[in-house]
Amino acid sequence: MTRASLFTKTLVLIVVLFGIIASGTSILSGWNLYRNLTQEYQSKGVAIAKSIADSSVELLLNADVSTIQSVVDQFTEIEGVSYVIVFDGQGEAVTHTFVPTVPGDVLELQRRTRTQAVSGAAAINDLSIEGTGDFLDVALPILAGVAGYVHVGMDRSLIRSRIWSAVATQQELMFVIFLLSVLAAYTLVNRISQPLKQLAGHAGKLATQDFSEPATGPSDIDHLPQKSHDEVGKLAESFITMEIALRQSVRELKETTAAKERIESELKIARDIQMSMVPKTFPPFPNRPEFDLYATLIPAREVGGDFYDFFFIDDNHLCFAIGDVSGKGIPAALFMAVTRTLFRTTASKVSRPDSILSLLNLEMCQNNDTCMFVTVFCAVLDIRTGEVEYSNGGHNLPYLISHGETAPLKNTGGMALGFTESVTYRTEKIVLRTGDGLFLYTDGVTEAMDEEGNQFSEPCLAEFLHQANGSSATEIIRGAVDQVKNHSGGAPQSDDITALTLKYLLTAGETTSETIVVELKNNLSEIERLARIADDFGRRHRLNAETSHNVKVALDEILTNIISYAYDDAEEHIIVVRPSLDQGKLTVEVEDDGRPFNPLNVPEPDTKQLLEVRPIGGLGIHVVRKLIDELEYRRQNDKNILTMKLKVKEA
Amino acid sequence: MSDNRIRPIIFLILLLFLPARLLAENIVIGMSAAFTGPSKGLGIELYRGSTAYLEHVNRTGGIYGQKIVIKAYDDGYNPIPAIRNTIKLIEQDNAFLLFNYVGTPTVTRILPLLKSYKEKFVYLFSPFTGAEPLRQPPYGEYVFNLRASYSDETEGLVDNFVSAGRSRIAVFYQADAYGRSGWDGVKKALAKFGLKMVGEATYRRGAEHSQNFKAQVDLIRKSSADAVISIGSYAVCAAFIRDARDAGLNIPIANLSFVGSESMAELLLQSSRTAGKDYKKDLINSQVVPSYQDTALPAVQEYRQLMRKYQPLPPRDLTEAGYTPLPYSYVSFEGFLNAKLLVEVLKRMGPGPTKSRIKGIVESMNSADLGIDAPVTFGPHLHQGLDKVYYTTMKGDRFVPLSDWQGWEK
Repeated sequence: MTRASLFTKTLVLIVVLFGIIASGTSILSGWNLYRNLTQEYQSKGVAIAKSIADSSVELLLNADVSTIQSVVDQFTEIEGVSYVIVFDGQGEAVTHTFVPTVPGDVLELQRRTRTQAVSGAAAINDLSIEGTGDFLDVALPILAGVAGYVHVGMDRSLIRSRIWSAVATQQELMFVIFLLSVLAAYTLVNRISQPLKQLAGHAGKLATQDFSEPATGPSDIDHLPQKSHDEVGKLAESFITMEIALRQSVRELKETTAAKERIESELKIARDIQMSMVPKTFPPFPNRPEFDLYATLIPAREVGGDFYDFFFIDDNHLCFAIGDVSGKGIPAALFMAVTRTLFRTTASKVSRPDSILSLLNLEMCQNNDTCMFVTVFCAVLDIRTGEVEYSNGGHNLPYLISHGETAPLKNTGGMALGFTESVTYRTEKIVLRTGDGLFLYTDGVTEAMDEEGNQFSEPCLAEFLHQANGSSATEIIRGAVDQVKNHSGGAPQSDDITALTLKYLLTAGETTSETIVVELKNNLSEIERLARIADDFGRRHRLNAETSHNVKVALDEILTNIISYAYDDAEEHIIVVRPSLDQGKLTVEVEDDGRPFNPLNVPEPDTKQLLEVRPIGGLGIHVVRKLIDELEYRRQNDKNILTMKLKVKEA
Repeated sequence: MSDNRIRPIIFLILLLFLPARLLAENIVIGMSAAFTGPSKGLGIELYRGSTAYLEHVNRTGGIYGQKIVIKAYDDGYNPIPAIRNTIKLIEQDNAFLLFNYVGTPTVTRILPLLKSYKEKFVYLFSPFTGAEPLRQPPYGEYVFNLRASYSDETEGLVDNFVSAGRSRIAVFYQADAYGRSGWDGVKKALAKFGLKMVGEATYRRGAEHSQNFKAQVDLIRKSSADAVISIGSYAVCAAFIRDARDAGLNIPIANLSFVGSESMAELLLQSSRTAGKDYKKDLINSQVVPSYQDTALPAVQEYRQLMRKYQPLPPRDLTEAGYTPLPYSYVSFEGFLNAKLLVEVLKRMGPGPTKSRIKGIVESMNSADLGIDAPVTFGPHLHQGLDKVYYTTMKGDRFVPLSDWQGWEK
């Protein structure tokens, strides 16, 4: 439905209003007129009847009806008088003006009037004579009815025609007034609606106007405030003011937007810079297959306060860390940049995690006007052995994933960095076995909220990591991130999500090799020393307990043998033990300068012999033979060289 | 002063001293009547009859040397013009007396004028109406009637009808004083026999002959009347007769003298010719003057002679075109007789008549003879000279005297 114009609405309103007024007044005036005319007629009729009645007395009594007739005839000339009839004392009509004859209704009325009590007042009745019309019959007794009655019939149709003509005249007048007022209304509304139309047209064009540009010229409604000194003018003024203000606002908005865009583009660059601050290349050390490392950092805003870092302190030690600056956005990012830079410089000075954190903390407490702080977890991995020394500064303890078990590392008790100088950081140590993994993360992972505010939570993370056992570092990270994202659903990321996974891949002895030389005196107490060195060696190379034990027992036997029986004199002799690990094979060389003895020539013991009977010392060699895969003997340079070889089993 | 100027002045001075009667050469008598409209026949014929006699008188020395002149005005048989005309006649034209007025409604309305002009001694002579108000107080004293009244006429008709065995009488009448007058006469006449009117029907004064009166005919027929007395104008009565006969109502219909019989006869003839029916049967007209065919009467002879001689015309300025004056008519004969009465009265007054003496002279008239074999008598309480009623019926083309009612005996 198209919106009716103001003019149409006003016109319709006027028409309706006039219709109501016209009908109302017509009805009212018609009714009023009818009543008044009827009253007039009644009084007229009564007056006529009265005059006839009064003058008829003598005539009636004198019985000269033609005189009465001529008197009566005069009255019928009066407008509105339809008939006059005079009845004598006996109720007989003596004079009337009816043509062709007196209607029965009139005679009936007279009979009724006669029977009613005579009061002297006029009896007024509505009389309807078939074929003639409607009348108002005014009956008056003459001489209290003794001399007779006079009925004067007033023509109702005259009243009606009067009313109709009056109403018609009124309607004509109304119509003329209506036309005039429509004309006036049209002119008036036009005068109002013209400026309104201009305003409306102008407003319609507003939408297509470019407010960013200054006004191109005078507005098409500028003249209105002067021209129309009414609400329309005021409205036009408001429009003009509004447009000026709008232009201003748009201009300001443009400037603000430009500024914002500048900031955004700078933020993007800042993000790039920040992203470049964390190592982004994976795999980071392709030439070091001993471990698998993957990390990710997803800031909540363009730039964030989380960081991770990893670098080689030296060939065998990998330093890796994760941190979370208090807060988000640019302040956190800047603080993160400071932290990360200081971290690197600190780690280049000291290599133990607790020292790193202590020094870092001191540095950060100075010049920390903003009182921000950062939680840091720092660790150093000995790649050869899988040992990890770590220190924590208020950060979430990473999870150790090891053979199906998932558990957080033990805390070292340190506080977040940058807070206060008087914090002590301690170190803890764990050893990673082949396949073990460490999962480092910030609270953006565990505290990621879904739309209802439920956090991802540590148990969920633990559950995931438990099931992720066996996956690669990349898979674990990506999987974790997916889990967090799934949990969050549509909720916006509230905090930076950072995670780092380090998986230790080095198998026992596979890629490490070592040869040590141990010089022993020919003293039984030296065997203990050798045992300790063997333990150490074994631990370093992650030799399993059985292998270590076997080697130790064998060495024990052999050395006991040598120390006990190889020397004829009581001089100090040096026995050289050279354990060597290479490509999964352990070779231990024992060199002594005693009498020539080849343990291999010792016959197999007859274990059936009773223990007391067996020669002493022969049993030991059998043990050695049983424990060691390969046994070799050679006499070289006056020395006995016994070579033991065995394959090592990884721990 | 020059000669030219002196002459008119001397003439004026002489004028003052000349006796009045030398100046008042004419006795002006005022007449307001119907010269136009449906009843124009009455005014015209009345006037013609009167002027025939007056012409004769004027030519034979007048009234002691004075001529009698009728100053006539037309009122069309309507009361208001009649009043205006009367005032004019009295105030402007200085009429010596009023004369030959036509119709009940008109005359009854000017009666109060006569009373109000009491000081001027204005009298009305021989109006062409038989109504009672002009014969009764309070106005009767200003009027001198010659003709018998409607009461006389209706009484006669009723008597005759009843005698003929027709006692169921209905009245067809004009709805005005004239009709009422006749109606009342019939009512009173019937009351004498202890009878009542069986039916009535009215018509409006001024109705035309061309209108139909079927409604009225029906009303009368429903009343099972065996005779109808019509009190109307000749045009309407003729139409009523036509419509009655057309409707099969063949009872006798009587009319009063007010219908100009000749005029009515002519209309009936026309209708008969047009319709191919005979509308002339069973009609009785009562008259107040004898038939102009009764040549035994001296007045009739004189009338016929003078009518032939002078061929009087209706007043030029009053009559419409298309009226054929009748050679003889009851109405002109009545006008003739009215003039004869007037002349008699004036003669009795002697030379230099004065209005104040009119009353005394007329009232002293006892058995004056106008040549119609009916004495004319007036008195202080008798202002109606004649009381004889004549009856006529239609035979052939005209109304002839009727003496025998046997034809309608039941």
